[in-house]
Amino acid sequence: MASVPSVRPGATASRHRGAVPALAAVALALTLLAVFLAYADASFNGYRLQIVTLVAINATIAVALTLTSGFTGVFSLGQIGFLAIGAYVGALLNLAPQWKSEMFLPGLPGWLAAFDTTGWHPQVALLFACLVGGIVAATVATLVGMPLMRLSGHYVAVATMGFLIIVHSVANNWSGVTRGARGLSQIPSYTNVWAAYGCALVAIYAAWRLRVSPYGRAMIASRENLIAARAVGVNVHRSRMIAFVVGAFLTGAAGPLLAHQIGSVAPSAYYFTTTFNVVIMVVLGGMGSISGAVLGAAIMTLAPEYLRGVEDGMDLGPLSFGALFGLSQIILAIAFILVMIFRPQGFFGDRELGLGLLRRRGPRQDGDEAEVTPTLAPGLDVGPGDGASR
Amino acid sequence: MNGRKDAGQTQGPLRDGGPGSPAPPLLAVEEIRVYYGAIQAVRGVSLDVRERELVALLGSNGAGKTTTLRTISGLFRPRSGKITYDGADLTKLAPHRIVAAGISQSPEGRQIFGSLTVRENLLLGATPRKDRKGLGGDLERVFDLFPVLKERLAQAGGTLSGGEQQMLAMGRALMARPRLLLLDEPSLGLAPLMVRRIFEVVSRLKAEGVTILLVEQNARKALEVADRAYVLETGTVVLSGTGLELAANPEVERAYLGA
Ligand SMILES: Nc1ncnc2c1ncn2[C@@H]1O[C@H](COP(=O)(O)OP(=O)(O)OP(=O)(O)O)[C@@H](O)[C@H]1O
Ligand SMILES: [Mg+2]
Repeated sequence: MASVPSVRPGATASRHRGAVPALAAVALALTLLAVFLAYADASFNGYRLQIVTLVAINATIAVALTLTSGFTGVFSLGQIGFLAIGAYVGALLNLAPQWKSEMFLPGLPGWLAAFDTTGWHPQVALLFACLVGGIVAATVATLVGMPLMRLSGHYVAVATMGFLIIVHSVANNWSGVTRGARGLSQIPSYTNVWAAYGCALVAIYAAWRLRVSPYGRAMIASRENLIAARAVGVNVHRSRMIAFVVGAFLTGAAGPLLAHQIGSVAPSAYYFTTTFNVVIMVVLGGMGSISGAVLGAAIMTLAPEYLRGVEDGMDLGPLSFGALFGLSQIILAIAFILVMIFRPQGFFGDRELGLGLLRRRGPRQDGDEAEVTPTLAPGLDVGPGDGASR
Repeated sequence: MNGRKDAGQTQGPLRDGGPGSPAPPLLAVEEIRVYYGAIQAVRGVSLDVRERELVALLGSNGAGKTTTLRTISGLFRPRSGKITYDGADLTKLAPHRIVAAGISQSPEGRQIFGSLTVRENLLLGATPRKDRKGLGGDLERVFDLFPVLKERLAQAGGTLSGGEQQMLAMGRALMARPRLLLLDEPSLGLAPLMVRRIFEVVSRLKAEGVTILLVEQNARKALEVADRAYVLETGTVVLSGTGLELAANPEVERAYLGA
């Protein structure tokens, strides 16, 4: 129609108006982050630096889970299985050949035992491990997801938990490759803040690009109203598969970071406790919000460290508490329960930090209105429509 | 002439249409039976819709109208029977393939994606389409029919009024560029003025050449605009005929046009 061009320029113009400050804000945020990381890298002690690094690794995993479960509403409890796969893959690639010998790992295929990255630049070896870890995890996710992503709601949660249990028992029992419960150690410590934050930024960018793409839109639609999503032509299985596989890739890529950070990989570190921690990060931030996942990861990584002081005991007026071990866990759990009572959609719900702020400053009126009008409780509250169970 | 059960004068599967014979139907539903578990909701419904026709599907609550439309869209599978569209069998096709083939639906109860913006809701309507270039023009066409949507583009779908949501549901269905549009109670719960708007749009779409299968509680309005209509009762077609015939039928008068 002749009227087509009349909207297009308007739409692009307003988008440009929003894009310049948004770009500037992103550049500013990245610069501040880089300055902070440089400072931390130079002056923090090893332990504090490790915590700072862990924030980024957890953020990567939480963002991946947001993508897999938050966008689609298909709750995966198998995420940490992919983390384990990535961690073991990274360890087996980058362990020095002496630790991969017949004596330690008799089940390892010869080519892998001989594979030697000790001469590589550590960051190259790490990047390589992340990529291979991600690819292996994504491949497994493709096979696992084919049948599982056809299931609905709770069944997916149970079935993916089954997947986690399988990964765990393979890691526990395949001693010739994994050394069972003892795990693999002597993994060189390649991970630094730059690699960890680089990976987190890649995950955030990937999740954001996906969210604003037609695929992301289809994921949210199928989460909100399954019947309507199918009615408009969303290929629900495919969009869930994309979310599951991309989430597995990002999680698998974070595995080597963790392995090369801690120096060892053991099955017990990749099980229910870790799973629930990540789930709490995502739920706390708001299912479906990328920035919420990052915030949730930061809180859940930092808070236990700060709360640890509480366990040493303290004086509150006339009351004096002795050392109470486990208190920090209880405080965190209570805080989590309170958040769920007073803000069940998490801190951000579906929203993203920054976008609303930027828009409010801009001259666009329609955007402003959208921010002012109360949105229907986003995320979990909206839930699948009445037809979802069919 | 009220052709109970259509008195066998239907066109059947004659697809060799010479210049004089009637065109084969665009959509042919043959004897479909649909169950919810053990409950049979549709008991052998047959109907057809020819190209550029506006066919109304009437019936009281629970008659099986929604079930029939959803089965055509592939959301439910018939236990038996067959659905053909443009000569091809749809019965086993996935819903997204059915939309891609040119059938889109504005579902009962609007089913807007509440936390997505109006713009995202509309774009979702174009999901199965490959041609991304035409989207701008199609959005314009929707705004032309429903100007209010343009003002609400960045607003969350869940914050629209009922009437606006209905327009959004229809707009979303149109974004698929359907050849056959299924409308499930588009006027439900709307104020008279809004009902009139919706029916104006339906007539306009028909004039533009869109084939429409319309489910309506508002039988009077539906029969006014429809070329033909079917009346469903407890899962079977009990009456069919042209809009005028049915409007004049005393049974229809009593049961649906009521006084
Ligand atoms: N999910 C379901 N499970 C069980 N029975 C159902 C389900 N959905 C519909 N039914 C039954 O199937 C029958 C047909 O329902 P349908 O929704 O198709 O009717 P309808 O003609 O669209 O009615 P209305 O005018 O009220 O929208 C009804 O008896 C209804 O109770
Ligand atoms: Mg109905």
